[in-house]
Amino acid sequence: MSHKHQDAILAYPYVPAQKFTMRYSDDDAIIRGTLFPELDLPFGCFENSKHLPSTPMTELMKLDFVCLELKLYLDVNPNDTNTLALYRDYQRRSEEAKNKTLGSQAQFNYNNWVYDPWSWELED
Amino acid sequence: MFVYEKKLQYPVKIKNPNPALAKFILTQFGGPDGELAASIRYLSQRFSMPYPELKAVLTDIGTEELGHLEMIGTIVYQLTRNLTVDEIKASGYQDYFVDHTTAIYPAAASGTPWNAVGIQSKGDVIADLVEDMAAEQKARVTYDNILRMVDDPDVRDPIIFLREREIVHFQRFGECLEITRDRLNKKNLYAINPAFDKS
Repeated sequence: MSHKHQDAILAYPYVPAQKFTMRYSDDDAIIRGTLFPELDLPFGCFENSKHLPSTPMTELMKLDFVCLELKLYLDVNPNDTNTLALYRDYQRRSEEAKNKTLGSQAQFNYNNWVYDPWSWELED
Repeated sequence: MFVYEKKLQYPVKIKNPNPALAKFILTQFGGPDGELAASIRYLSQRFSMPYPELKAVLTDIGTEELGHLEMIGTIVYQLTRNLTVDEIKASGYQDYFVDHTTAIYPAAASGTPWNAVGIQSKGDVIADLVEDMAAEQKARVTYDNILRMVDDPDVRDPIIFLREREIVHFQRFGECLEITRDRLNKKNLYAINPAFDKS
C-alpha cells in the first residue's frame, strides 16, 4: 500500500508518490544507485552496468543497500506491510553477513575494530 | 545517537592517484552543495519537524549523507596518495597542499572553508522541504559536472552512485510534501506553520 494519489495544486510543489512494484536484483541495485528502476535516471551515458566483484564485503554492501532503500521507502509508506516483511528479511540476512565480515556484532573484537583495514584504506 | 559501521556504502578502489581530480571532487566534501552540507542541513532541520515521518526521513537521509561524506573523503584520500612534490605542483594541488598536506579538510573547490551559510534550517515545514529538494538538485548537478571532467572508471563508478542517490532523496522529500499537504488546511496550505503554530 503506497501513499494515496493526489492531484497537483496551485502554489505548492508536486512530486507524485512512488508506487513500489518492480525492484532491481541485489547485484543491479547497488551499481545503479537505486533499488527502483523508475528512479534510475543517469546523466548522459554515464552509467554502471558491470556488477561489483563478489567478496564478503560487497555482499554485505548489497544487502545493506537494499535495506536502506526499503527503509527510506517505508519512512513515507508506513502501512506497507509487504515491504516491511521484505525489509525484515533483508535485515536478518544483513546481520548474518555483518557478523561474518565486520566480526561478531554481539561480542566486541579488538582486532576487527582497530586492526582490520579502515574503510578508506586500500588493502595492499 | 550515532553508530558507525566500519565499511563504505559503496566500494572505492582507485588504482591511479590523480591530485588534479581531487581538487574539484573535494567540493563534495566541504562545498556549499556537498555531503557535509546535506548531512548538517537534514540533521538540523529534523528537530523542528512536527510529523514523525518527516523526522524519520530527515534522520535517515542525513545519516546516509554522512556515509557519502566518508566516500568523498576516501576518494580524495586515494587520489592524493604517494605523491611527489613535482606531481603536486603540476596538478594545481599546491595551494591546498601548503595548508593541509594530503589531509582531508572540509573546503569547496575554490578553497573556501565549509560554511553554514550554504544551508538553511528555516523552521517552516514547507520551506525546509523545498530547501531540501533544491539541495538534492544542486548536489546532482555538481556530480554531473564532476562526471564531465573525470575519465577514470575507478573514480566515475562511486560518483555515478552518489549522483543517483540525490535523485532518490529528491523523490522522498517530494513525498514528504505530499504527507504534509494531507495534514494542512486544504483551502490554504500556508495559513499556519505546523512546526510552530498549534493549528
